[in-house]
This record gives sequence, C-alpha cells and structure tokens, in this order.
Amino acid sequence: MVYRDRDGRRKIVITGLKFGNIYVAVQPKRGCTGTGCDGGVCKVLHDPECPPTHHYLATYKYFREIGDVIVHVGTHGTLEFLPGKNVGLSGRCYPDILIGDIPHIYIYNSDNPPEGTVARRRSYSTLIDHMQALMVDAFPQELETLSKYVEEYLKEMDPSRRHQLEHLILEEVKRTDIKGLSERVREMEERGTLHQGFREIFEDIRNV
Amino acid sequence: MKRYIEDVLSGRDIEDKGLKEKILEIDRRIEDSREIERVLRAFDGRYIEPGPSGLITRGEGGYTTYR
Repeated sequence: MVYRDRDGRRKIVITGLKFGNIYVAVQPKRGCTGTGCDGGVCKVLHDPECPPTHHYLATYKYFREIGDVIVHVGTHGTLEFLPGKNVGLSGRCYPDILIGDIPHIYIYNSDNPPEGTVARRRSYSTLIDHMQALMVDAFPQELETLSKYVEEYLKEMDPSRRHQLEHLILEEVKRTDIKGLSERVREMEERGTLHQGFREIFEDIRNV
Repeated sequence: MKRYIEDVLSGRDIEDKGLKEKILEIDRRIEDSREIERVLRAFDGRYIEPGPSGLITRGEGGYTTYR
C-alpha cells in the first residue's frame, strides 16, 4: 500500500471509489493474510496491545481531512476495538486518534446493543439501527443428494468409487434437470459417451 | 406459515386472530424502517432519539430500527 511516484516521493494508497462528493471505501485491514488465512492473524482484531498499521492510520487521517462526516455502514468494525482505554478515551487511545473530532454516524445492527455501546463510547458515534439479516435455507431440497455426491466426488481418490459416483451424479442431474442438463445426459447415454462427457457436465453444475 | 403470512399481508382473514395480529405487527415494524431518513437527519447534525434495541421479531416492546 506504499508506492513511489514519478518524482521518487513515497505515497500511501487509499483505496475507494468516489461518487460525487461521497467517498466509499472498505475499512482498512487490521491484519489479514488473505487466502492464506488460518484464523490466527484476525485474532489481532481484539488485541488490546497491537496498534493499527500505518495504512490504517493514514486512511482515517485522509477521510478526516477530505470529509465532513464519516459513516460506518454495518456492524462491528475494527476501529472501536483498537487499543486504548475502555471509556473516557485520551488522545493516546487509537479510536480517539483515528476518529478525532469528525462527526461519526454508525449504521448498526439493532440486535447488538452491547457492542453498539462500545461503538458509541469508544468512537463517539451516533448509532442508527439497521434491521437484522434474515436467515433462510436457500438451498433447494431436491438438490441435496446431488450436492452430497459432488462433495464426495471432489474428495474421493478410489477409481472405482469415482466411477460409481459419476453415474450417481449423472442420474441426479437427469432426475433434477438442473440447469436443463437432463437432455444432454440422455444423449450421452444413447451415444455411450457418459464418461467422456462427464467432466463438462460436472463443471457446468458446479458453476451455478 | 408462509401461507398465513401471504394471506394476512394481502388482506385476507385467517382463523388465528392472535397470529394475524402478530404478523401485522412485525410487518408494521419492518415497514416502519427509516434508516436512510435518519442518516440524512444525522448529516444535518440533528438529534437522533434513542430507542429500545433487540430483534424486530421478538418482544412486546415495539422494537424499531433507525434510532
């Protein structure tokens, strides 16, 4: 997140998109190993000692300088959990350093009052409650068996079981007509090209 | 349950009056959301009144968002 411009000056990159006079950005990373994630690094999120990165500090400094207000959208960011005192923060506590005196609005889950209170006390925010996300089972029941076979197929090493699973998967594709593929499977059956064509069908159903 | 909700919300009657009341009440709380309006109000530096927290689908206390 640091680069050197044409004149050799070192600069920090602040990511985001501008929409008129609104600047939209993802909260900077507190610590993250990306695809190499093993859960260890994000423990730093609640670490009471570990300071935020230079990039994190620079991002909020930039927002304070260009903006009239900061709006955090969504619940449980990282800013209000940065090191410092629990209440009555001083100028040496990180949330205070970062948010400074810019007005701070926080759109927060109305069902999380304890951590909402932390956001209010430690980052001087005004909370606007948002509704909870509703959880529904979005997975169609009739694809349950197919899904199980596919999962097993991805792990299975034994050639004879793999062979068997290819048949079972194609049977399920026929039965459920997922993505309208049943006709193609029937044609493959008639031509006796089931196993040659399997890979293609398999990729197709996995890219729903 | 889905049938009951559909019936109540499209104005039809269902047998269970208690359930009907509850469906209408939760629907009112969902429809009552004014988050955007309140964010704009906060932009103007105006007061955001406090209110009870909790799940919109739980409790008797008229939980609403946007506060």
